[in-house]
Amino acid sequence: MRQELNYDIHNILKFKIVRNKKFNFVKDLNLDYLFFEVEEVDDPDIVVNIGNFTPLNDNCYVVDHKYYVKENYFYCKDSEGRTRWEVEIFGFEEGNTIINFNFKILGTRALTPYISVENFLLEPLICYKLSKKNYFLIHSAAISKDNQAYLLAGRGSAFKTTLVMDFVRRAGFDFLGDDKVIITKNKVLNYPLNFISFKFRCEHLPTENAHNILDRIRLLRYVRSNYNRMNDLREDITESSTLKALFFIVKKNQQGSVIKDNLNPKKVVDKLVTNNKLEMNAPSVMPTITGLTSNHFFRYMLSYSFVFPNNQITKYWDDLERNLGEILEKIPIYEIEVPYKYDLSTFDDICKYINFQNGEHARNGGLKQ
Amino acid sequence: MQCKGGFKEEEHLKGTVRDYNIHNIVTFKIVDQTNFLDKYLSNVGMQYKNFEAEKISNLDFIVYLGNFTPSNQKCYILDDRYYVKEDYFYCKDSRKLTKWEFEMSGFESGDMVAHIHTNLAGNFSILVNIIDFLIHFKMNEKGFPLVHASCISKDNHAFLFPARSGGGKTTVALYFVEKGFDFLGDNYIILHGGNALSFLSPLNIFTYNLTPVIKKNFGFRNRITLDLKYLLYRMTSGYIKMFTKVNIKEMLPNQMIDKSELDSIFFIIPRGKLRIENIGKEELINRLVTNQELDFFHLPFLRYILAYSYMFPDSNMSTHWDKYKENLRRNISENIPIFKVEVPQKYDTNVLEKIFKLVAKN
Repeated sequence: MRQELNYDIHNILKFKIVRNKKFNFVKDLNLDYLFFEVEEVDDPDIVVNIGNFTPLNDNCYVVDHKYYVKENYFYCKDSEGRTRWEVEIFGFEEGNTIINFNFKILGTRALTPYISVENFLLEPLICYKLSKKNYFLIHSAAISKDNQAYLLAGRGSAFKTTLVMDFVRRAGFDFLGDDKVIITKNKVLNYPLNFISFKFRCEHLPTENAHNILDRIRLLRYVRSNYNRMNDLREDITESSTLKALFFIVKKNQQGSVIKDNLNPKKVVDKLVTNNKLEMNAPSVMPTITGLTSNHFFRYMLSYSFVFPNNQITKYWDDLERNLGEILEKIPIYEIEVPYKYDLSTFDDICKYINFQNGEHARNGGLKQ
Repeated sequence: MQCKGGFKEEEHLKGTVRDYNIHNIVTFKIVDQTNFLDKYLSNVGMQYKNFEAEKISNLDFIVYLGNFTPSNQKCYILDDRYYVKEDYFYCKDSRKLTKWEFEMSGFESGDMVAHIHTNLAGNFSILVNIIDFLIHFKMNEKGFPLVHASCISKDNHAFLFPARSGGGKTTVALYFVEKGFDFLGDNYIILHGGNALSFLSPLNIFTYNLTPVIKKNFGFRNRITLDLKYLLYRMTSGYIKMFTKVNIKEMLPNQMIDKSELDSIFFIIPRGKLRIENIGKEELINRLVTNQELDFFHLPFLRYILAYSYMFPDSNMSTHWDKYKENLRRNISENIPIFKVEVPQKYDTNVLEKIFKLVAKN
């Protein structure tokens, strides 16, 4: 059975996922990019073919016995735990990209083969392709009010999603993204990955991680009833907003929250770039479901740069650094230390800071507790 | 744990204490506080045997092996697993069957102390991997870059073979040893002021690199373990691959030297057929950096460095790779010939013969 899914990210980037797998009963669960799904795209930037393929990996350089590299091409067979996959990428650094991907899951996990294994390949490529068009996908949550967007950047487990949930349901903010957003010049574009799941958590759960078996079943039912309502849901959320301020959220094992301002802009850019590197290097979107604990793409890029040291991809980080420098130059940046356990008082504190930012006092510069 | 101005003198350390000295550049102490079984399985003693030294007074770092209580209060917590504060890093991590706990402090101020605690499986690899990284880190701080390469020498002319694993570093080095060259190392080499300094780690022997000269001194017991490990490798279809480690000094007692002037560099990369071309220094350096990054990739040290530099963007740690690159630039002479050698994926004597001729010509 052949299934074609088309996606369009803000008319900037188009991609297509073609599945040729025999079993295809998991379509409903392919949620990650649902928000960007469209009927049809022409001239997609990326095409992902899932299913059997014969690799064209002759005359390749071989790195570490398993990565096959030639100009603009990458191939490898890889595995983690009981998940195995084979991937071939044409147009690795330039031009339109074609990804051929085949996977196999062994063991008990084969019962729930919700694989967004393809996402660990797709996402970094999306990141890279967007950057060529001067849009930057950065690891940060974002909310907006009155066309003013606030970025909440932080490492995993820094309560980004929970905070966004609370901002949306308690303080009437609009949702832009809970994990990543696209920024350009002075604008923030939304990037809601797995939007239905976010909406469910927002409506039914106290915090992002409060999942038990019952909640999972409820989530599944919620997904089923809302899957076809995506068009209506899309209407509800803001597409873009003007960048107003950036807040770093860091978790610390201490009591109470602390805010710092006057961060050195150069260091802030370094921090954001490091954050993105870590994200590309760190556990994938939903490790419990995908079964992958590290993001293998980073290693693929390193292997490629080992063979071709002056390739386009390595320039990505420099591009990101330069552009973030320009974008963040004009906006205020703060760092908020939050305690280990999340509760509403944490939210109230942060809410206070953001409202303060929003208010007239902002012009005074300094922000004291 | 430590005080300013040198390590606190601890007279009554429990466990096995050993001091190590690498060419008087980096010195360290390993305090092994693990139980009998761990000690038996651990290959740390074997790994650094050639660097063992008498008691050293000014140490660069101390590594404690065994259970410990982390002092990770008031830390920033990233990804729910990395604990970071100024001059301090702690995490719990795992890979395949290996689980470990790792704490490191004093890496910015100078008196570096590391604690490593692993499960049983960790004794085989992760301990050595972590200590190797600590050595690499300290060496780099002192301006002596460690490169992932093998090296052999004749009449004070050293030939360096950087490559990824599977590139045939060991195979090439052993071939030259058979031809009467001296041996400096088959995994890491220290570069300094146009010279190559030896770094003797045990040879990792698997079925495919058991060359005649090694076989001669290999011993019956080693042979049996090698066969058993090969069997395990086949049975788990490649999931568990354990090398047999042998001390190179015992294998080649008369063909070891400490230091030699770097004559030329042959960057080896597997492809289809044998092809040789000249490349520039900057290109080589970029590749050497990536090589080293990839080498430390299978343990998440890249992530550890990133996690620390996320919180402390102007720390020493965050500029680690830039510094490494700069060190390579400074310590490789300008006019040295550098070749890129494309080799077939499967080596045969014919290829080795051609590489030998190429080296002999230089």
